[in-house]
Amino acid sequence: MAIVRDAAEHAAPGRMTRARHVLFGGGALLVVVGLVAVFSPSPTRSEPFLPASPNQILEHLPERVAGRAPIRAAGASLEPIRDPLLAERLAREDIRSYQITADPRYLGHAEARLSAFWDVADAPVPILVLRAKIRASNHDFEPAIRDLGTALAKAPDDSQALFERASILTVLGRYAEAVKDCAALAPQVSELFALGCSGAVRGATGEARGAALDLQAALVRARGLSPADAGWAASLIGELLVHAGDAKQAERWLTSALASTPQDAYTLGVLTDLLLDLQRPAEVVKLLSPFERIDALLLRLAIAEQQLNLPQAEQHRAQLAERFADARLRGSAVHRREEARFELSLRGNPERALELAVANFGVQREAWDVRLLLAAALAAKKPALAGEAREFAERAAVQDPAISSLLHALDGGQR
Amino acid sequence: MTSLKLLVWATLLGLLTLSSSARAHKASDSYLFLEAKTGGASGRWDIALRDLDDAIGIDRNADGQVSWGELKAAETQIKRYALASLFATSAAGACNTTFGRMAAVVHSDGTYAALDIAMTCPGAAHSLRLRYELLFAIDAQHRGVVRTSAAAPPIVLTKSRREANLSLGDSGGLAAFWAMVRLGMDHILHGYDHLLFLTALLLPSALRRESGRWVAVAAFPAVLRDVLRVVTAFTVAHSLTLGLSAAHLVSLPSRFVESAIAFSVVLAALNNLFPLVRSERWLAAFCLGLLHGFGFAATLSDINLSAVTFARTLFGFNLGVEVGQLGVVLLLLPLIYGLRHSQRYQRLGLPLGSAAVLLISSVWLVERAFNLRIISS
Repeated sequence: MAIVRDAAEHAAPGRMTRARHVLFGGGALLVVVGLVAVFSPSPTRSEPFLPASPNQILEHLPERVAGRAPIRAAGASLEPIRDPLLAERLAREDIRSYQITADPRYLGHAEARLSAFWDVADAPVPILVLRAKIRASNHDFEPAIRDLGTALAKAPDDSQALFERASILTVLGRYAEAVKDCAALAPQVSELFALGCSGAVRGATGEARGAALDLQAALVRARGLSPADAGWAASLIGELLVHAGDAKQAERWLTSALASTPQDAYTLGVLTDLLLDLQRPAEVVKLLSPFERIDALLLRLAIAEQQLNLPQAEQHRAQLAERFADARLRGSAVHRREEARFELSLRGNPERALELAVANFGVQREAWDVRLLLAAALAAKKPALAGEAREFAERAAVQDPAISSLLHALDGGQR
Repeated sequence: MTSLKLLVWATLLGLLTLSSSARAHKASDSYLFLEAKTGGASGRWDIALRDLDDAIGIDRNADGQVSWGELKAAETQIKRYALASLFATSAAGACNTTFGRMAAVVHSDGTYAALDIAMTCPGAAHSLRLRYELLFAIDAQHRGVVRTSAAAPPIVLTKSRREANLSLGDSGGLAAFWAMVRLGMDHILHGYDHLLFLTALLLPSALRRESGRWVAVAAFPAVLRDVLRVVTAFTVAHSLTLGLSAAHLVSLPSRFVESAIAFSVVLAALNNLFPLVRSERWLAAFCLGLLHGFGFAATLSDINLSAVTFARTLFGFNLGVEVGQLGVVLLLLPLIYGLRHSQRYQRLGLPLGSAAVLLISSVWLVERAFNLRIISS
């Protein structure tokens, strides 16, 4: 500033002073930057190109998940599979691939394998259960619950149908119904799974620590668990301990879950959320760098990078924006929770975040759905819009340190 | 070069060479861009290589990768599959679909085959009915996303909704053009940073400096000339970078662009308080205007159409921006000219107005550069 003032006062009219050199230098720099930008290869997207060499690799196909049969259309059409056992087996493989990779294309494949039975109200029970799983993964919760109701009317003891329905009802916050399904499930399955079913409900209704302790005891007693099941149990215990506010033990359990199932996107999400809450973004970056493909994990990665002021944050934010735009274009709403968090934490747009969080809360009511609605309402200074989430949290006696402190902050704001 | 300059260059070059590599997990979509022309439609159809491999098998050597050679080898097979998956009819009968060049194109979840497509319909077709069958047999959640113009909402075809009507002829074209003009006007009228920049540059247009003080310029033509020079320079500059950026020839990170735009407003306001650039204000308007074009282009970045539509879209949008800007100038000009003799304007209005602009733009600059929220929403 001193140079500028000095130059302004002493400059003879019409002569280029030092300060004006600086200003024009700046302008010239911008022009040069523009020219450099024009002639430098920029990351162009959506522009068709003709590769120079036939050896140029255009796409890496996903690794075939072991045992999964490739799907092929002979022409435009492929005869739907009429054999229910074959359709069930192939769809189950696709759903397993989806669960391992979090790649939604597998859900579309699974649905296609079941196409002969997709609109059949009275389909065989295993197919109804798979259909419900696919529908629930697409957030079509009500049709999924209807399918499971049909399945359970035919086979009241079907443990998969009971477990599936209890999980969906827990996500929807319909805890009393979920408790009933878990009770009906208990005699059919091992102690660990019975406690897992009820533990998820207890975790959402203020009994997280007790549920975690019960599961830990059952895990000690359990014999011959597969790594997948051991990982599932450890992950659930870790998540319950997060709600109970025991960050240290939660981290230990989540880390041990990842030792059993290192690629598990759900556990990675829970652990990195905990680390973000504990202000340890550097570890989040380390954990999530290999998982940029998965939107929900890229979101946490970008939040961590932003906190660390890393240059990749900008690029990842742009990628997320593009992915959400693509999802909107196809009319998909499964991203609402992630998009609300994106708008709140990465875009600094609490109004938009609040709109999305309200819409999301109308569909699902897990701890993060409550938390996002409260946080967005607080940031947008519209505490009244958090009313529904507050009532819900109080009615269910939701226990979670982040939710408690948000409720506290909202109280402070209203007084 | 000083070390500071080197640092600036390194940062800028670093920002320019960022490349996006990670590809998303995403449900399957194909993108069909169609533009109406007399007797039919033409455009481009993007189909994911991954989906093509699932449907018809294009990874010949089964190494888990698709090379350009493998894609070219499967070209006939791909076109046959595509031809059997898309049907167009007009009132007078079935249209004839043909495919031209096949290229590659990158979307958020990976590389796609980009097929040039043309549909020729019998009679004078005013509308066209599409039936879409691609991939539904193997992926029940596949979507065909059909776009006919940048402004019109896309048509999404699904397994349970496979057909759609596309209107052809000029109704789409003109309406789309007008929509782009409106989008451009809307953008400038809500783009307070662009307006403040222009305002700050125009505030002293009816004044000149004489021994450290502002005095009025007597003649209207001189004032008008100054305004025209500044506005034209700004327009030419931002149109230039808007075009380059919208055509994906240049890309700058948005945070850098937004921060730099705020900085340009800071500079413009500072120049009114401590005048350095006077008669050459048009040159400053040009240099800094280059930045604003990148800002305008952000609105257009999602739009993705063939060359003809692109030119029309860009022209419409730019026209809208200029019309909006002209409106603001026409409002400002009488004020600036009318008040030029007023001592209050010279001593208070201009400095205080510029100081206000300086304050607002400095806050923007801090907000944008450090990703904070202070005043804006």
